[in-house]
Amino acid sequence: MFEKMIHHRPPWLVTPPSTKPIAISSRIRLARNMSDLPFPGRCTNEQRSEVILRVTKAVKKTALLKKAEVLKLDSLSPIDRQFLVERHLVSPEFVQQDAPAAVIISNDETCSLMINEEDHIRMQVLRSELNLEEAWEMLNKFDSELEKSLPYAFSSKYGYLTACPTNVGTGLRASAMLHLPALVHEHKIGSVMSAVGKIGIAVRGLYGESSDSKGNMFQISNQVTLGQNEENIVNQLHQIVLRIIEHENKLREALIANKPHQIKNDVGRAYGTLKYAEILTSEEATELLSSLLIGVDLQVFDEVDRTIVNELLIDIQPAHLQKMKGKNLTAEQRDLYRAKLIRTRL
Amino acid sequence: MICSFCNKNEATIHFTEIINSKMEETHMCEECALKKGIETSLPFSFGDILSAITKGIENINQFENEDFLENPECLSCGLTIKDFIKQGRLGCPECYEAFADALKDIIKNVQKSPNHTGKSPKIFPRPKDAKRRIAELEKKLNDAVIEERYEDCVAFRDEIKHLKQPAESDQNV
Repeated sequence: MFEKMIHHRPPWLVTPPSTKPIAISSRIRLARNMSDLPFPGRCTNEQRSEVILRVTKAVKKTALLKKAEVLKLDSLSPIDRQFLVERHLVSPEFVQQDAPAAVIISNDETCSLMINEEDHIRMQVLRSELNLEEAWEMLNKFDSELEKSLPYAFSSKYGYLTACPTNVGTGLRASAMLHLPALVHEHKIGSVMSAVGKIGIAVRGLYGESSDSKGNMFQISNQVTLGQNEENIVNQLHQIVLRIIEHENKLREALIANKPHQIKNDVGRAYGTLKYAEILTSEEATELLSSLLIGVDLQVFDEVDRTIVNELLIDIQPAHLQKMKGKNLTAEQRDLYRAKLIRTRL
Repeated sequence: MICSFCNKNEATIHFTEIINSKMEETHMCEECALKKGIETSLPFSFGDILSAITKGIENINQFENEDFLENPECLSCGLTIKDFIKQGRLGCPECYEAFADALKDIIKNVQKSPNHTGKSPKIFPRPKDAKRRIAELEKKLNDAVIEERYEDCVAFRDEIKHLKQPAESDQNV
């Protein structure tokens, strides 16, 4: 499975060359639990194995994941685990545990389901660009199929019961990954964060729970899961993302009108470094590739194809590099190999 | 992650600042954030949950004895309030009943409203469970009426109404 994944791009990353999306991808995830067992944090290993058994059996009856591969966590090497995190298929918390857990991934990586993360089930659908409603439709259908054979923990008052009260109710987290270089460049990202924060929307860095914001990539997601229905949550986030995109676009236009030389200079320097550097850390490469994306999107730089930049953003991550190379690499070796990979592709 | 200011507490607030076009990350605990007068941009933090539950405990403590924190609260999984404060996670679905009082405050703080309005499983509630729950709620409602807890009355009445709905519509079919 990993062999195939290394050589194929997940569909959520592939966008038509004509579009220049600020929204890179959209994701919906649902949290569900069995009604008759403790939440994973309080399960015995036997109970956790029982959950894996029940869920995998139920999943085999669904249209979406019946042919999907089940990966038991204890069968995965540290690099495999990191690879799945880099691919946005599992959470960093999921792979850090020792107890029985598993992940089921659809062949095209659109849908994945973690068994025994913080909740018994964490399932997600990933789509490219801003397609939250489509992702919700797909996941909703899948969830309805699953519930036919799994007794979910549910209360008529609190809805779907979850280990953390911050997920209770719908158990739904909708998020969009946005590339917001102009908002960062113009020091406006902080005010966006605090404005949307007031209405229950969080802005974070690339990866779920951390505040990392590599390469001007941000994840925008709902915080409220109870008291609003799923469609409202998804729609509200969609509307907010549209506003942020509008804001980013206006700033981009202003940038190109007012500071064309500075933008061209930044993009050109980024290209120069990427093209000729011998050593590149993950952080530096991500930042420089983000600059290239701006150049391509603002049409001031046409030396590279956007798809190549998008692919590189995924491929230059540590576990991806080691999977491609087929062996473990030290940090120094990775920096060398990363620079070589970028030089070749550009 | 440990707070980068006191190097002692777990960092629960993470934010990014932009200084001279460079993004800088800060990780700090609730205590240091308060000292520095920083308002988090998130609508709530883990600290909110804890303060809400602590507030709940203070109120409850007026009536309970001191070993309240150590007593197993949830009869189903044995989780205590102390465990919950420490881990921030509930132990099992029954904990929602066992910690109902404390959770009321938490949920008020972190969620939009205390009532679920979204999807529900098609097979829920199984008729047997619903009947038992309705009987239980009717007793609670009675007590609440006698004790003049009107807010609780409304909540119990709404839940009974919700539980009775599918049964009634089934009869109509």
